[in-house]
Amino acid sequence: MRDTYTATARRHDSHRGALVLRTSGESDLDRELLTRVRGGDRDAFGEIVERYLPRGMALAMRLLRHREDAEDLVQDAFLSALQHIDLFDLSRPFWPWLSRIIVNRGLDISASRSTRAADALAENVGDSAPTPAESVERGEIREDFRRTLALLPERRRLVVQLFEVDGFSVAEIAKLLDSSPATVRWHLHMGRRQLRNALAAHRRG
Amino acid sequence: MRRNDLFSDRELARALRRLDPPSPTSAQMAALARRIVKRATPMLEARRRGHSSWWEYAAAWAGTLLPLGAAAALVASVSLLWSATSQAPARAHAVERTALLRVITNQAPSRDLVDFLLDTPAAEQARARSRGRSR
Repeated sequence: MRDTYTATARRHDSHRGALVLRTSGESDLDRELLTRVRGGDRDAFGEIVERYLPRGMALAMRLLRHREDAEDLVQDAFLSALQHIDLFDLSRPFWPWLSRIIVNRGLDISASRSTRAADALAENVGDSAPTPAESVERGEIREDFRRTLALLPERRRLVVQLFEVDGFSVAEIAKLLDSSPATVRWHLHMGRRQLRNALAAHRRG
Repeated sequence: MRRNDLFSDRELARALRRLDPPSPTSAQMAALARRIVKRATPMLEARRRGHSSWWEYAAAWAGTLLPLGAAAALVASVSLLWSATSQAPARAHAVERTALLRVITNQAPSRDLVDFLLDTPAAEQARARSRGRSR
């Protein structure tokens, strides 16, 4: 499993390294920092925040698709982790525990507010300047694709994005979402089919 | 589920990436980190002063105390069971009953019973005598 994580990290560091699950040397330093955090060491907590904030924020953005909401989610997750730090098993890696807190809270929040997230998806363009005709066509495709993505059930959307964009394996996603690999594969299959259909409709038209 | 589902779909990935919201800037991240640490400061100070609540102690020690309590309960119940089923007193009572029966049925003199109960050297002789008689 460790090899898969590392391979995944290498493969996707170029465009979105923030969501990498962990690296092999992290655990010892984490253990030391978290022991100090248990004793109320502010600097150690600051270091933990610094180490895990980019990953936490990337995951929260993936979940909520809105920066301010993602910031609130990550802040709550860190404070919750601190509150329950005595329950954390120091022999285990910290990121899976923190990411589970983020995912559970994030899914609750996104279930309670779906419209705002859908709006937030609309306006992000990362392409070089297209011609006006291309703009219209691309805009239409993007709008349809965006709508299809926003209509996917929350977990399915997350599974597809974590797999396709962030390079997580099925096993990693299952662990993150506290789900079975079979369920993740099912969501992945169904989600991709819906999204591919949205892209194919424009290709045919 | 198709075999292709195990591999990333480049076209799909590209389309999804285009919809990704922009990542926060490093300044925004630094501000967020400061905010989180600031919000956490009262909790950290309470920890430093050792003002943890009783349930925090209980939660912290639960992993140790629960197995310890279960082991202690197990040892106690095994000890009780062992002492309840111990055969020694029953055997002693059986010997006394036999001695009493012999006296009642005139197979042994009553002083044998008294000696037996007082557990004197004479009782040993009485026991020997009664064993000899029964043979």
